[in-house]
Amino acid sequence: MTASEAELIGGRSTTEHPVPAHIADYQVQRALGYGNSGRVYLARPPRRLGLAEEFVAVKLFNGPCADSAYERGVEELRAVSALDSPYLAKVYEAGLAGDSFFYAMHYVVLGSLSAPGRPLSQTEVLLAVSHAASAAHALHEAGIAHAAIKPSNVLIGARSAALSDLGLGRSLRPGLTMTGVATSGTVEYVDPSVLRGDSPSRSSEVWALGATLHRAVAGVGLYGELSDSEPLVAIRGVMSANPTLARNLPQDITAIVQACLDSPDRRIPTAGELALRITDLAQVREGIVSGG
Amino acid sequence: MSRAGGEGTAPGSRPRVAATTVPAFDQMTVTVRPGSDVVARMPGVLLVARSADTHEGDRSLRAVLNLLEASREGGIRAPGYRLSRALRRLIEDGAAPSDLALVAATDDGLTVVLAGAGALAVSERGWRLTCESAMVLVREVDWPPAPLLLNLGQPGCEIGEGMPDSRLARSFDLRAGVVPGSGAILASPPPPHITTPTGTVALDSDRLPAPSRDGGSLSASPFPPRRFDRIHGIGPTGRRRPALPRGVAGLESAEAVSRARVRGYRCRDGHLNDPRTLFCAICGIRMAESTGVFVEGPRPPLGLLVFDNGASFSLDENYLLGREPDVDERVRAGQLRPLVLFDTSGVISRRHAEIRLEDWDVLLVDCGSANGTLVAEREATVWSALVPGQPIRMLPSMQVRIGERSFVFESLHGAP
Ligand SMILES: Nc1ncnc2c1ncn2[C@@H]1O[C@H](COP(=O)(O)OP(=O)(O)OP(=O)(O)O)[C@@H](O)[C@H]1O
Ligand SMILES: [Mg+2]
Ligand SMILES: [Zn+2]
Repeated sequence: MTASEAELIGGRSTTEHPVPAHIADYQVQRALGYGNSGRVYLARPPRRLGLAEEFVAVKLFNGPCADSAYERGVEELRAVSALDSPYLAKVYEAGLAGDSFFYAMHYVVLGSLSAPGRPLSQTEVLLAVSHAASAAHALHEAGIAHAAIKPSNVLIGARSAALSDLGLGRSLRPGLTMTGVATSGTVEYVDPSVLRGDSPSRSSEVWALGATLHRAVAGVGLYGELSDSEPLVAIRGVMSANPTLARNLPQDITAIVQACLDSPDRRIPTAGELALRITDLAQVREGIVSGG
Repeated sequence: MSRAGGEGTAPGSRPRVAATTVPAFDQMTVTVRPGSDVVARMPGVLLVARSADTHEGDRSLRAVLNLLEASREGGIRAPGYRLSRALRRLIEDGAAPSDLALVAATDDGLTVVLAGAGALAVSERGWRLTCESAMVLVREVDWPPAPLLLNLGQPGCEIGEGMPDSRLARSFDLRAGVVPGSGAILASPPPPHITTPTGTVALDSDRLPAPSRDGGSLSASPFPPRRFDRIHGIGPTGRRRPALPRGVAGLESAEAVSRARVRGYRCRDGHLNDPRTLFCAICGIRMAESTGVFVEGPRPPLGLLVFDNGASFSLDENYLLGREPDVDERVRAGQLRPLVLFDTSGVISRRHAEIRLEDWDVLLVDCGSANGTLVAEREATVWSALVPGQPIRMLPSMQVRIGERSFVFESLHGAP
């Protein structure tokens, strides 16, 4: 692993996980990053898939996966794939490698909103979050909750952004509230009501999208920087504090974020409406730019 | 449970090299390859470590030898799990020699620890294990079917290489101690000495470490292909689900209907609360005494289990925790939620502990696990082991340790 890759994944050592040469019959090139539930590798897909792409991103989940959980995962991925939204990351296949669950998805060169391969303009960020919101809406209309919306799951494609890693956590491990806070500060994107035991809902996903927008534009989280190494401290911090919006957040974006975090009865009701509000805003801004 | 029985029920397990076909670790012979590094053997363990002629090097070597010494004094015959855990910590703290290779006996196989240039090879089978770019590699493996070489990554590590005449070599055997060397070979004793092992392994399948994933071959991929399912272009088998309801009503709101019912007081906003609490667990407002009506309703989630790695589980159902909770009838029947725990130490039982919700209480029971369940009160550092089968009531912020994993009970409704 090169030094720059080490930085990309947060400067943390991945000593526990040497990069495997193969995952099933995929040829691993290098690690792309890691999260709480697993790791993502750049890999050459096997010929049998008949893909035009030279590379795919393979997400390999930590720990063994029972057959029953595997089947639930496959069913969930297929249900998402059937929606055929341009804003949902394309998953080619899932499998068991040894007893580890993995899936192969479309590889995007720029990576995710959490650490994009090049600096993004504010408009690009706005569009990316609105695409993620559209994707979330498509899921909700189909009776599916993502449950893990956060910057690292918003992939920056050439033409549009795509929401990835549908929170399989819950189908793989029932009862799971969130996969963890240890790396990407997942807890700041979880609606506090979900921490208190509510199931993910349209409302909680709007919350997560607002938190994602805030982090991507302001560069800080709603609770400042939460402890990476002490999950319990982070969770207690979130449950006892109110989110505070960063002062460097432009006013028009502040208004949207606020409307995402508001009490559920006043919150933007659906991710679809949020997507519209964000694209409107982006267009207004572009208009100002081209008009001036 | 017999080993055969264990295999039958464990999904995805494979035939193992039965531990009874190889002699116990301490009946194996150890031949030392000449060199200026260090080879050490103690009951159940063999080590090759870099000796550096510096103060630092000397100290780190001592640290590792002390670990071995401590386990020898403890009279532990299968120190693999303990040693590998302690050694990994030492390596991660930078307090161990830069390069080392260790194998130690576990209940039914070997645990391998490699750091730096440390390498393990079974030349007869073409197997080789190194830690590549990692700082440390810890692995459970089966007993090797042929002589096993540990060294510090010298090129051309053929087992025969650099060895004295083979007839002579047969009589070399380091039984215990610390000597100079560049590598060591662990092998079955020559034929006349093969003895049937004496009471080596407990056949309780619960004690088996998670099967190593590589089918016994040390060099094979840790992630061999097993199953593929196309996703793109294939629809789900289930029926189309109804759209999520608008607002806060969640995915599983229907589930609330099937939740156990409890009795308690409602706050001004209608949240059902534990009668023992003074403030509403959801909105924090003081419970008005005047409300004073005891009502019944679906039990709200009682809190979270927050794991060491941040994974959090909602306490709205009973859970079975363990390495393979799916083996349990009640899990398969959907009465208990499985919570799979995995660690590398192999000391977690397939069914290890159970979390039971009773009224407003969260109970914890050890299911007769092989290595026990430890608890400590909030922020305390004194751990005590649960008596198997005897439930305890979890207090808010109670810490629980199972193998290398730990979690805290983050209470929402707990009585103060
Ligand atoms: N399809 C992809 N193409 C390119 N890079 C990707 C892709 N998927 C993930 N990555 C990169 O890998 C990183 C880690 O992703 P991963 O999904 O393991 O972690 P996460 O999203 O933080 O957590 P979670 O496990 O909850 O999804 C991402 O931040 C992103 O940079
Ligand atoms: Mg992800
Ligand atoms: Zn209340």
